[in-house]
Amino acid sequence: MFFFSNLGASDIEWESLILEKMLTSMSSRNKVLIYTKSIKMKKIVEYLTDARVRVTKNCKRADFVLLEEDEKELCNKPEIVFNYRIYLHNQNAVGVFFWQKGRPTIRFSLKRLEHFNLQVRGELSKFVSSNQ
Amino acid sequence: MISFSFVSYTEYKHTLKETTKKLNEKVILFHFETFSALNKIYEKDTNKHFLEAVKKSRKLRESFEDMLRLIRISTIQNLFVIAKDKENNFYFLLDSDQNSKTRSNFMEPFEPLGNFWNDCYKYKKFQIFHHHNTKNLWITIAYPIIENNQTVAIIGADISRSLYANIQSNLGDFSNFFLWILLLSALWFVILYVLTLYFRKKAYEGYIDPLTQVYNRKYLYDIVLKKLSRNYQLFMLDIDFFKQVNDAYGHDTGDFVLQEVARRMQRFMRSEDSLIRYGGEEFLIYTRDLTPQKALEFAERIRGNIQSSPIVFNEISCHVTVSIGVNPYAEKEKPFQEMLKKADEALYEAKISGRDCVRLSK
Repeated sequence: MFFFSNLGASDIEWESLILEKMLTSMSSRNKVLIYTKSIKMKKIVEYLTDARVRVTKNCKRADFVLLEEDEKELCNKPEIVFNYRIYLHNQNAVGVFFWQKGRPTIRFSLKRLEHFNLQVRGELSKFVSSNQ
Repeated sequence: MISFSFVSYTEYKHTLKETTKKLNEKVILFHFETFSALNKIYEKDTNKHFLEAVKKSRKLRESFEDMLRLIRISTIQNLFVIAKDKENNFYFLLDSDQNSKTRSNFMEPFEPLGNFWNDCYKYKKFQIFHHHNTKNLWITIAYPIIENNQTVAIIGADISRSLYANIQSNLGDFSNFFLWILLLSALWFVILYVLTLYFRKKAYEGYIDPLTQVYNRKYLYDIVLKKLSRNYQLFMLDIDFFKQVNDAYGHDTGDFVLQEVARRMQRFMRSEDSLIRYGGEEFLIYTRDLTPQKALEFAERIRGNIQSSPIVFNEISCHVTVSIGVNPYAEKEKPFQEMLKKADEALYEAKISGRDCVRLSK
């Protein structure tokens, strides 16, 4: 899996790498704007290396919202969450990334992706599930 | 020393690797026996319809999870049971973790790292996987639950990294001990080398005439005689009227004359030749591989060079000449003293012939 080419990376570097892959696989545009209120997410976002991915302070302008555990949904935008239980119940959550038994786990919801007119391309397409 | 260090280090690494491997195998074997027992209980309690029964009954799942917790000793980081759906996606059936924040619930997705989970399903045999690319996981054991000759689920166990750290720490003590031994050996070699150089230097200094900085007689008898060529040449050289120089100009001038004569001769020495201060104003040259004609020419060049320009010391100018007796026929088989005597006789001939000349022995 592509994640494991980066030996010795810290957890935060892993997470930013995975997040970057998730965002860029859902968007083919030159710019991908993301919004987050979470302090933890802001730290992860600092490690993003893809120049296409940028942070916006305006939720309404964002293409995706990064949502932490206790936050409420924002701006009716497609969201990426980091807890599987939240992913199950949050109808705006198009994708989830979380650590399970020391393993990074990614899932996308086909139904929700279609709702936002999104699609997952490339190697992450195998993580799209029709169950949620 | 480098070879020794390299071989030692290679052997140490190999031993460390083998020891780690054996310890890992013991750890795996121990857990394997436990899972085998657990599998038998699951089989019995579900009357060989494990997957069906577990999916239907929450109570049964809780009971089986209790069993997992019983066997989950401190060396096991994660202990769970997973299965595969029709789309070949893995999901959790059971999890021994009681923490609601970290446990995996029934039907939650499981991300398989490596192909060994599929191999376990396919080959219906337990699989062991060593994780090298992640710091969170060390060894994972996949133990198949088989019904009607098909794998229906897998018991998965992640062996704790703390066990690995423990093993490494204990081996680390051994490693430190070995490194200390290596360091002491290296230090010992360095000391030995320095002492060898020191004693060689001291020995060398014992063979040098302090005034002229050429070899002394001790060198002749300790070294030269032990490496005589089959055929060699001896040149006995004496400074003409040296006593008069000393008497007329003093010993300081005399010493300078000796030093300058030695320097002028040194220019003609090859690496295999030896220039020796044999007596007060007497020098002996040992050479090899010179024909009598070449030996004569060699001696003439030396003589000519010494007398070609005066030796000046403290505004005193001395015109110095030398007489040289050559034995170009010296043989190793014959006594050295005899060969030396012939060179000496030739020198005598040179002296009585008027000095400042070269004579060959007969």
